[in-house]
Amino acid sequence: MQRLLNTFLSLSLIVVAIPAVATPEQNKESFQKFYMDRFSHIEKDDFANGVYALDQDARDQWEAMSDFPPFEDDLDEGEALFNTPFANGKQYADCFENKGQGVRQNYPQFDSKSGQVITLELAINNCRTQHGEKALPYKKGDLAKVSAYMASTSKGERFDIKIPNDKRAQQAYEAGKKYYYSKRGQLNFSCANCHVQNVGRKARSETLSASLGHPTHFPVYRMKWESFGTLQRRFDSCNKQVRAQPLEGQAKDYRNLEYFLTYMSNGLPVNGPASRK
Amino acid sequence: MLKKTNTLKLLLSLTLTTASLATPLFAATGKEIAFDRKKGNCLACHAMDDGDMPGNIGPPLVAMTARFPDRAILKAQIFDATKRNPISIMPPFGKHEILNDAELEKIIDYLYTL
Amino acid sequence: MLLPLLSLSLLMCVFSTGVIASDKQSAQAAIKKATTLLQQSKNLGFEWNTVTPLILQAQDAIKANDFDNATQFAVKASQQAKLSIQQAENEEKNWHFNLPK
Repeated sequence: MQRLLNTFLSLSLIVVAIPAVATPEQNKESFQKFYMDRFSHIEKDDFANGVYALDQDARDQWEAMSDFPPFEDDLDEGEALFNTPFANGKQYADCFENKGQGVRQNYPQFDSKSGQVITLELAINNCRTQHGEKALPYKKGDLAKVSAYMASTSKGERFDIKIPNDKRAQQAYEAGKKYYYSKRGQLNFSCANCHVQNVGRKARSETLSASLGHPTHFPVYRMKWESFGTLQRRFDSCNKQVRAQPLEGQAKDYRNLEYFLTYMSNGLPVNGPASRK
Repeated sequence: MLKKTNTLKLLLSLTLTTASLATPLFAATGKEIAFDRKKGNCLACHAMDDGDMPGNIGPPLVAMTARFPDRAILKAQIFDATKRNPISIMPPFGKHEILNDAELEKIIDYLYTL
Repeated sequence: MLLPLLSLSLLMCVFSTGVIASDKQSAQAAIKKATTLLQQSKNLGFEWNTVTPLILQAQDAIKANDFDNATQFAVKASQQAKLSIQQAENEEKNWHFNLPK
């Protein structure tokens, strides 16, 4: 029996050893193909709607709710904040390409100067500190509002995350990938356990969503939160559910995970901010 | 075999009562532990008994005696399912101390009534 | 199958008698050990959110001069931190089995 198991394990090693050394582009192709094969009736772009692409009942409720988006006020505030000059007279628009309009699809991006992954939220705070303002708390509040506004100006743009030919960028991507596929927490779940292997199945009455499209609609206004939250705030919720300790906002592991996850959704449209249960 | 198991259970329960000050006076039943979201939370993934809105990640828990004639195999699966399959989604309830041994035994007793 | 379980429970008996004898110093040592292991699991990126609450409970028990309980909580914290470190080691080998096929 043990020998049989060993043979099986080493065989599966050979099989999976191929994607393990695959390029990010190949990873992305097989990742997207996995979901499109599994849900062949779903249009690729519809994966941007997260769980509502898979669960019609939930989608009906959500669409009814979306007639009056619960985040309108917060989004207006985000726009006002975005346009309010800093004490030194500069503003957010001065820190971004195209004055910060329609740039969401390019984040996270790898910064070759610092050798780090820069998420949109980190870029927003970097902009503030560069102009003598205090950094805002990550994950929710004003930062999420500004980020939501910036996403709203990018609606329909297609995600185009780049992994430059820089060893550090590839390492960041690989680290994010490893985070995604590793089991963690006392309950011993990987992201993939729910969102790849059991996608579309139900945990109690909740449909497990596809990871293809996970990042496209963030920041998200969750009824449960009664506010906007960033993708990393959502990572916290998943971690808590599996009894893993959430990380600090913009922790390296979180940024790398966001880099990997968003790269996997390359080609999908920006459709944030969106509302969720 | 049966006798040995009983001795073991006795020994374990003795150990547990001395070792754990937190043992409640009125212990929960196997079904209560299985349904408790903070304990077994079996319904998250398995249809079973009269559980409301069960998940469908794992197989329905029915005909357990026929499917697991060997109690030790059933226990090993609940204790640490990743031993047989390293990527199993099932939490290793025993290995990771999500449930203690007395709770595992109670759940197994209950499962055998299904 | 039975033998290891039996020896485990015997071990637990020994352990529980050990608990009865704990004093402030040994309780503090147990907390220190748990804290070190927790830091290790954090560094590996595999910290469980169950461990810090156990350490806090141990510290509260020390404040209440309940050294037996303090030691028990700390030992449990250590054990779970060790399990999370073991999880990190397992995942180093197994994570790629999760890739979509």
